[in-house]
Amino acid sequence: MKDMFVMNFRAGYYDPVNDRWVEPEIPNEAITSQDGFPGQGMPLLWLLNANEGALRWVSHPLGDIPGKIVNFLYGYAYIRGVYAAVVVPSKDDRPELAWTLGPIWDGYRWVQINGEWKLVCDLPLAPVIEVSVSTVKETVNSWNRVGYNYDLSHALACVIAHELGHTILWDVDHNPAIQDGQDPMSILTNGDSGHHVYQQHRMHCFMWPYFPPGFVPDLDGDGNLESLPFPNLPTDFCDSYPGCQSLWHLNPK
Amino acid sequence: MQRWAFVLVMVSFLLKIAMASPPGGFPRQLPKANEEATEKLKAAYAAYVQGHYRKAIRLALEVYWEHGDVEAKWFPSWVAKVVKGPIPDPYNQGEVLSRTIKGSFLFTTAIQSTFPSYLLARSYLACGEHKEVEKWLGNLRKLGWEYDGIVRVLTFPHPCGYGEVHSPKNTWHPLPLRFREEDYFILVPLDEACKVLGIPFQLDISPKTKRVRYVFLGKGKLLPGLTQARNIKGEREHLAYAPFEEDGKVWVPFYWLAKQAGIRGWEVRNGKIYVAPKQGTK
Repeated sequence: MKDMFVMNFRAGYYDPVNDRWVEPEIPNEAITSQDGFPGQGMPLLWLLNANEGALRWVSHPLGDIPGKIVNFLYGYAYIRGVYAAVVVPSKDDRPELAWTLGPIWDGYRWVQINGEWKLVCDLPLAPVIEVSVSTVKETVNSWNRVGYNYDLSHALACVIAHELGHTILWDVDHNPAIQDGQDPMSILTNGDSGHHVYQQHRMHCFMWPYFPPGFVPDLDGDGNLESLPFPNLPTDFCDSYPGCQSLWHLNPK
Repeated sequence: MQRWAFVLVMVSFLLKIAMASPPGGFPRQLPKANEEATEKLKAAYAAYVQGHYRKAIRLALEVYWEHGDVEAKWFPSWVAKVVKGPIPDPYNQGEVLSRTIKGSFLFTTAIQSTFPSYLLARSYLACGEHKEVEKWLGNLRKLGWEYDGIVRVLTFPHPCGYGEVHSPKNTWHPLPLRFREEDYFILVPLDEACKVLGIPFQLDISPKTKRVRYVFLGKGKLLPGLTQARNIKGEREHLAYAPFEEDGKVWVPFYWLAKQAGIRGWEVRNGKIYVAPKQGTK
């Protein structure tokens, strides 16, 4: 894989209907920053602005489905050796920072069947990452209010890099002995989708399951937090323990 | 320092309760609220955002006791004013995402949703009733909420700050200001409200479209049809209800303007907006 394409669905843009410039919800720098994705040893990144991507209707046995040129490109990603993903700002009633839909080799797609929208995953299309920018901002602010000095752009870059990491490390389970929900703190220990595992792997990597990294809950219930966040946010995927940089691959095991 | 201590005490104390609940995984999918519960949850959400916590608690409890934790999702009424064509079904995540990617409107960020336990935990926290907060956080844990989600419930600020204003209501005075209600949010005409509240403002009209492009308030900026904004100090903020232009008038949520003017307490009574007298800072 030598090229990667990421499309930002809310970079700053000119709104012709209202004749105005709308500030970015997700600045492009959150994707292209040296402090974020892609990182050491990874392919060349091409950032695509969603407003520049032409709409293309993709023919599908279940009906025509909307796509952008980048998605069309992605349809051949596993053959051409390229990578593509879509980043969309979002919000949810639960204060999640971000979530990822689909790995790069098996993207999900919603299609209309008999008037109803259904999720299908039988086409290799682009994975989608939804980012709650306001939650990232409030999380950063809440730590900064108690003495940390995190930069919002860097934090956003970390969150997006973590999710982009999932698109490739989707099938990596670092701890098959524990699956999600089998442990009171399963997100710390299940190692699903490339997440690091508490007490086995490094914290200072984009794939640590908590943000900011290093923040570990009170596991023994003695009222003392096990550790506090690192003063500095990570700037890359780890090269060892477990070595996320070398786990990148295009197809599942 | 005080806030540091507060956060640490709250986090360590409440976690004991949160962690004592059964193990969870991804948050569970909640049942869809029926029409009546949806309306009550919409009203409760608007009451919480506008700083009327007791009302939010009352309405959310009514839903909880009758239906348990059901989820209401909706697109606010302002969406229909700025989007041409049909609005997607808010419960269909695929349709919302698909319409966002193929179109030019961010349906993913316009969607609103809530459910009783979350709203109750936040509202009781805003009122400083920590025993009740523990109880509802325990519920969130049972619903599969992990540690970091719980911490965010405890540490995120409330749109209208902590506590309700309890100064005697006979000291509150009515504002000579018309208003309307949409989705239980009190909306006021921007120009009239800014004059009454003493907020300097400036409209930027597009020579091309003759519509309001931006509203400038101090260092702040509002964009009709978008929840993205900058407050009067120039800081980024998201409004719970987007301003919109109608017949040349820009309508804005009163709670946000009141906050910019430093007003902590307000209510609608006898068809008028009453505000509490401003208090000196300590």
